[in-house]
Amino acid sequence: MIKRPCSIAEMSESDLIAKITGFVAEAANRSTEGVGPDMNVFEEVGVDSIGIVMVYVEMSMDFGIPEPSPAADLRAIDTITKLAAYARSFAT
Amino acid sequence: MNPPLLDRAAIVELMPYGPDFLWVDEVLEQDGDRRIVTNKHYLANASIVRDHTPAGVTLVPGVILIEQAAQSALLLGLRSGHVASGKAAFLGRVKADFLAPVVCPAKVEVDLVVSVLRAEAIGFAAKLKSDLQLCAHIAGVCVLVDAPAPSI
Repeated sequence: MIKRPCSIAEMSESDLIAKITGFVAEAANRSTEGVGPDMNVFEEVGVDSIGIVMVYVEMSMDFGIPEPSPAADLRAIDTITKLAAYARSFAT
Repeated sequence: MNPPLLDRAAIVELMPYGPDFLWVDEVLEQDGDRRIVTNKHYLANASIVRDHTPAGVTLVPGVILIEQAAQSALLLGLRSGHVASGKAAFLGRVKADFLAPVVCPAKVEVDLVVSVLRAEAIGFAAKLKSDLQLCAHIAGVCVLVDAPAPSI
């Protein structure tokens, strides 16, 4: 489960989206089927306030990226596409 | 080997649990509010361990290892000042991979990193080693709430 962080820079966009879709679906206790990259992860997918923390824990473990700043609202990044862009912003 | 940063007596003082529900014996290392290394010595004659497998070898229950990791996260929060006294922590989400059985007697070391630190929650990932062998990966979310008033 806890893996060495992989390089986001080397991941294709579709692989990155698929990976994050898995995190989001698991956080919402559902399968990835029917979960789209531009769906609202809270209102349409069903991630709750605990689940979104787990999504960032998973992204930290897999991609080695930090959480959003403490002042930032975790609900502000509300789609898988935006989560991927956030992760990608740390690519070197 | 360096002496522990905190021994069991000091941890009992800090944590909201009684000694029979405390699954951390020592704090070995701490890096600010993001990483802590703790350990726990499991004895074969402890009732919860002994009664887990009464007919065979004494194995530490996986759920206790999860609790050890979660208590380590809370301890880090308390020691770093992120968690104020009067707050209670509940394990809201957990994901665990158990890689090897922990046979008593054993010393289990938790190396825990906090990856999400918010006013209302702590998200963590931990590697657990039993006598230096990797035995579990545990990730989870501790939810912080105002402690309920004691019942009378």
